[in-house]
Amino acid sequence: MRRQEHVDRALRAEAYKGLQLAVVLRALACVVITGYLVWEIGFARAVPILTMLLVLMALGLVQLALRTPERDQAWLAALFAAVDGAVIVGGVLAAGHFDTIALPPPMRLGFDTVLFLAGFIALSSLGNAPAVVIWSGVTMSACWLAGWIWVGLQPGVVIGAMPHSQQLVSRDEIIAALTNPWMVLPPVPLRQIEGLLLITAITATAAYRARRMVRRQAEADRARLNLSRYFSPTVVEDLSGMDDPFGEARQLSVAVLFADLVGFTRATAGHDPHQVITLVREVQRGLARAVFACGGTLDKFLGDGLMASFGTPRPTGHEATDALAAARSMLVAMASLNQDRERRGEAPILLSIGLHFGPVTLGNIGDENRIEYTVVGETVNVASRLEKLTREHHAALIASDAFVRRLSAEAQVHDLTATGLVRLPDQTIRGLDAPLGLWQIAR
Amino acid sequence: MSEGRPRRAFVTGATGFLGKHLVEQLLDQGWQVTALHRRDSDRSFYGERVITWVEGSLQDQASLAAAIPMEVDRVFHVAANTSIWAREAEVQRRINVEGTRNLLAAALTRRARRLVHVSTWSVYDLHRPEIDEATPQTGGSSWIGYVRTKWQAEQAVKTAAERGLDAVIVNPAHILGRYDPGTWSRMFLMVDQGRLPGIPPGSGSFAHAAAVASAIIAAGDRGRRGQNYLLGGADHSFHEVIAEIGFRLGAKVPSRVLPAAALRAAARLQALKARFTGERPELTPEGAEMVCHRTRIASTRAIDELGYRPAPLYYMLADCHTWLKTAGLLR
Repeated sequence: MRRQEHVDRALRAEAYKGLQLAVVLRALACVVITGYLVWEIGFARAVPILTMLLVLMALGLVQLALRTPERDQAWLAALFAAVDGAVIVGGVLAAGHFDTIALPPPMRLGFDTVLFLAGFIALSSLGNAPAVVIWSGVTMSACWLAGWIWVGLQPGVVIGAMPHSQQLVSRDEIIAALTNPWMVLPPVPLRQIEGLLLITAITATAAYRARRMVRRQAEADRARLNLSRYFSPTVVEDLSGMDDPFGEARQLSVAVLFADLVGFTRATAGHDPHQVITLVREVQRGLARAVFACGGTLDKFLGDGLMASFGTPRPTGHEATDALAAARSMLVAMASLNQDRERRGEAPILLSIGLHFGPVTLGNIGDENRIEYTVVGETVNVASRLEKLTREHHAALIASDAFVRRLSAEAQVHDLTATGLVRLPDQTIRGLDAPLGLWQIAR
Repeated sequence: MSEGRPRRAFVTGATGFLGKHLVEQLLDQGWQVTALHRRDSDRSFYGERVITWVEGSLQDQASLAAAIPMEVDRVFHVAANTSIWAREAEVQRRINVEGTRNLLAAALTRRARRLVHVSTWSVYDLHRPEIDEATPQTGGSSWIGYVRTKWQAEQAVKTAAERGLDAVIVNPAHILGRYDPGTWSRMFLMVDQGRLPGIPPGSGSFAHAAAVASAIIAAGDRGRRGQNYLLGGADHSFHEVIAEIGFRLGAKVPSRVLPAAALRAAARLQALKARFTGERPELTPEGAEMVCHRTRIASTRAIDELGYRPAPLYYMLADCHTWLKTAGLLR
């Protein structure tokens, strides 16, 4: 359901972009034709056609104003396609009527105006809606036919022989018919309409393919950034309202949490692999829930642990408070899991956690086969090392002094003793020049 | 703000859970506190701290008018009967509704500069998944006496505000922290003694008593006249709250979440029993109802305007736990 919504939204957005492009192209075409006409027949004679071109430009803008990227409005596109066709055919005929030099009616639909109609059919394909293209092609053809019928009904106009008439005619008769400005030869408009419909079919196919491509792309995007798998529900809601939340790489100060199971391999040695996987899943689900409940972002699962960040994709002002709250509820969740394990006579599984706060770079990394939205930087490495350091200190959690300073600055926690955090002597961490101030929560 | 002289506050409910936090912070900030107390109140908590105690009762308007200093800077109305037992409905109505009306009248007479009324989140429509200050207040039609009387009290404050009293209302969520004589701290005792039969199905928003007290003072200083300020906090299921308590105590907790219907039925049974024994039941139908809701509270207004800082759950429970141990209520 939600996936369908996402795809639909992408399709609508593309259709809207196509419409914008079509309006621009239509305006450009009108400008080019205006320039050409003025050069060819002079401004005074071109006024009626120029009026029609202005109306066409205006119609494009009106359509753009009426449509929104949020709603599927194919009916509006269809309506405007029909109006466009009527305006072009009617406009060309009317222009002939107002022209200072009165030409015989059949000549008014000459000058290859039909190519202009073909151009409009092609433009309609930019909306990626095959049905709209077909509708547009059919209505344009109908308008063209209606135009010819009107011409045929004008006084003085002669209808020539029907197509497929088997009677033999001489070369002179054919030339005479083709060069008679008062004669309408039905094979001519019919062949033109045949051409328009062919162009319609080809263009509709192209639109169909483009639509399918957009759909696939949207589905792939969706799969890649399966938001709800990484972000807490509130963040997902927030992100889906943004145009491109994952656009550019950014520098942010965030809290990074590493959690890992200690002695898991030993505790599960000799167990049924299926059971082991079930247990890992159960634990990871619990840990992920703690991350989301505290507004964090699940960066990735790592073996039997995970990495999470707080303050991504945007700062909250309480990153460290949230990260510590998540860490605490992870410890609580493990304790209650271990209560059950103990009841069943199984060895407890210990969780160790590392917490650090500092600058990271946030962005999409990876190659075209596998893209991850993640944080990278020294802060991440240090958080990971702090988690490893818990083994040395037999601690459940080790946090850096930078983390605890941030925690205090956030002012939601005033009394550090209530957090259970106890100061450790400074320690040198691989990759850092100066010794790092550390805090721990004991086992 | 400092005009050379210390600011003066009049506090009701100073010997209660939240009142202790408020008065403590007021004294630390150098306020001159006048506090109302009933004849039988235990004031030993404050020891030697300098407070002007005035004996009186919310039900006696004359005693209030005598107690409130003329043109006092703030009246903090914290006192309330928080009972959720129908048996106490009449006393509750007299204290919460009439008491508030009496206090409002006295505050107007004594030309109090501003009154901060402590209401509750539960006056809002509890059936919404999330409430904020724009949510309709439906507490007036509640069958729960506490909710109904607190709603009526809030209406009285709004009426007084229309008559010229400068009043601000705060609506705290479930309050956790030290000095809790038996609201949520009871959970610690029940878990510790293994008396908890199961876990309530609902969830709640939990606010830290100290943070609520700070927000009450801030509401007096920076709150907008006539506005409500919801003071929510950490949103957690009762399952999470009880798991955290079990973790702190190193005690086993039930993992079974009771169905709401079962909890309500058990509460009805207890209430029936209480009717015969006259003893206060551990679980009342009203109490059961309150722990079956799942309402989140948006505290954005208080965070933005009052600088309210909600605390994480473990922290509030740690605060409560440490105090229970210090006070000798828990081993």
